[in-house]
Amino acid sequence: MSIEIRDLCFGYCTREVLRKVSFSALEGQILAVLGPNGVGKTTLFRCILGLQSRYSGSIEVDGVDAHTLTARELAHRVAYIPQTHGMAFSYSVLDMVLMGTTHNVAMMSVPKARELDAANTALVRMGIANLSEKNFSHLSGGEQQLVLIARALAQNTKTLLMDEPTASLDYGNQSLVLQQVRALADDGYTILLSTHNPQHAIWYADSVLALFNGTVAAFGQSREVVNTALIRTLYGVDATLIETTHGPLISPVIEGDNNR
Amino acid sequence: MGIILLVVFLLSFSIGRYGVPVSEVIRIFISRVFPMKQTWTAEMATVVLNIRLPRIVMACLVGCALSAAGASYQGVFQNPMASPDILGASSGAAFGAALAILLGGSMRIITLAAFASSLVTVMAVYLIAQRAPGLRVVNLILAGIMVGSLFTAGTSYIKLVADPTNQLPAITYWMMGSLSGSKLKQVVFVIVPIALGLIPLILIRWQVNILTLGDEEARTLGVNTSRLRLVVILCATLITAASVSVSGMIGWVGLVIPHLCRKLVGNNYRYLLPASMIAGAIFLLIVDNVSRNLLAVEIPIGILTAFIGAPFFIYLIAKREKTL
Repeated sequence: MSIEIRDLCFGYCTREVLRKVSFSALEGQILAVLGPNGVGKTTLFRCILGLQSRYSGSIEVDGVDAHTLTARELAHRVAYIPQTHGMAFSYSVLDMVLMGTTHNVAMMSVPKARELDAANTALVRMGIANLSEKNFSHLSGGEQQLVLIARALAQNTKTLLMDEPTASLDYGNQSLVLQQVRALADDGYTILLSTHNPQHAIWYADSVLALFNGTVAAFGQSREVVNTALIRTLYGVDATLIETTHGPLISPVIEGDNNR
Repeated sequence: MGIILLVVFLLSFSIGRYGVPVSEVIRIFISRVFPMKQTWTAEMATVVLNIRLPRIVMACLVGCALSAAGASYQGVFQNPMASPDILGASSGAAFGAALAILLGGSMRIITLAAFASSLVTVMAVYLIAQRAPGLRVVNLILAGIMVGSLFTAGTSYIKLVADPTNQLPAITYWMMGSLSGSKLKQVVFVIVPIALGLIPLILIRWQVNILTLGDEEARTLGVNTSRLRLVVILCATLITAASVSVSGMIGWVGLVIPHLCRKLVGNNYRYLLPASMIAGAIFLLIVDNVSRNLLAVEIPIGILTAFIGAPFFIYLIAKREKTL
């Protein structure tokens, strides 16, 4: 069990953001975190990543209390894949991926052959070795996301945290990225990802954590948990579930459908 | 780049009112280590070793320090516009140094005062820019201008109350930035703080890359961001203050040179920092040669760098990317 969270509570001043959140993420599985905007998905991730430390309850990473780990020690265990974003200075793809190895590099040193190997392996694994010399900021959103995943692989951790990996990607790139993520889970990585698309959770995730009003609305196998009632609770919209040979398809109920 | 520096370094010895052929310059240097037949005059040796050597070494040191400080500030503040002068570090150092001159402090006191006051300025600018709402890049520049002008006003007041026969000319001329008074003693004195600041910066240059990604991302990559940022700011401020205390206000080097180097070698600090240091040394050495040879009267070097730097800054503002 790589991530185990018990009774996590967190509040900013007066407002409680997370209340008694408990769940666990298993090795080789994708756990999708669902919930409307502002429900505390980001806060949850920030707590796990050690960016927010004033929470109560416990977060265990590989059986160790995350509170007791330094930033460097935590970086040995958990890699974070942010959404693509603009940067003050842009680097080559290889340099970006090399940065993932920083926790293995002494403070007063630079990455050596071993780190370069790890970076190149990660690039090959994501199928973007040809981009290695390109400038990161000149890549498409999908390519940038793959580079950030490659950076996390170069970090050589067992657990990956992804903040809405498909946000701001086009339809084709969404599938491309999610298929790569699925392949990583099948290779034994533990993956936590937040998403706004319940369909992605059904297709790609093994289990689902649904957050609503700071508490766990549902937690379990994705095909059992995601249903029309949950969609109604989380997002306030009516949906229908259509069983197909590729698993269930979710479609929102479109009013006045017959008139078109 | 290293070769260019060496060539400019040697050529600089031969340029001047009193011309010395480059071949003689090389011979004079070699003769200090290996005994050889004297083909130069005694005046040549005096000019090269006692007058030009300290000044040329000083130009290289100051150029290298200011440029490295600029590159480092840009990294920790994730801001391509940061530089010792924009952040007010130079005016802070100037205030501290002017105060020390007023109180009749020794060289060591002047440097310490420059460092302390420069550090206060950078920290104040950083805190103001952090707290204020809006674009951080713009905030940092605005805060730098405000705090910098506050310290400039302080310096003006010091000039007002300074003794007009001795202290005032010293402060005023020193504010314009000049390397003309460089003595070997000063070089030896300033080399210590500059080395103390530069060596850690070179050692941790890879980590500065991670800081430019932003604090949160840097921490998830295993970097202790607050400690690292503090170390970089302290080192960059130390070398700025040290160079300001011996050379006065030489502006723009810390902005222009790192940018040219970003174009040449990219943004990776592993290569950017050494490149900036060498290019800074070359740049200031060339400008100093111009400053002492262009006219019969020496032009303070700070005036020349401003003539080059200000148009470059305008170019940067016009060309900067939309995301900033």
